[in-house]
Amino acid sequence: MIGTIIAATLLLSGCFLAMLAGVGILRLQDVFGRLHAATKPSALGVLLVCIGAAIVVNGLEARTQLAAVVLLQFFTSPVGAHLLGRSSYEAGLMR
Amino acid sequence: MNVVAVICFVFLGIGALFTTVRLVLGPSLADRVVASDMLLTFLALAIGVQAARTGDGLYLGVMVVIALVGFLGTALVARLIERRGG
Repeated sequence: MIGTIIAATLLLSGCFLAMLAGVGILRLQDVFGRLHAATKPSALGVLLVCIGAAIVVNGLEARTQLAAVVLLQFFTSPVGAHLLGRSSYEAGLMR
Repeated sequence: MNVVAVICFVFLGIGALFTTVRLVLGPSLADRVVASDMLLTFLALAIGVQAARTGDGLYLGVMVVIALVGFLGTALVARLIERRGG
């Protein structure tokens, strides 16, 4: 029961963070602001949702896959954002 | 858990709607790449919420594939922007 409540809190906060990122992508002014808004939930939101799902899901295999998702996102999301930011800076999109 | 999953899906739907608006409007190619990468993140989050709702990890392999393919697409388009200009 207490595990379900913790999992529900983690899932809700992760999804709320993702919705705030959507608002940020729509509202912020240039590419770098949108990149800044988009990179947070692809690391922290995925981490929260994966921990929340790993609490309530059945089986070791599913938990291993969730851990693999968290590891992959934590390594690839900052690198991808850095690549995109650097290339759009060199392409002259800075205002 | 069902009510929580529905609320999570509503959050994800609103965020994906805003991101789709930016994907259509976005003035440069980099904006569209950021928006489409973010849409993949929304898909991964929705798969995670669905796994928590049903309790079995049937579609979690898709989540792993999304985490890989999203990075590959972003890196390739970043290379393209660097070569061609935004």
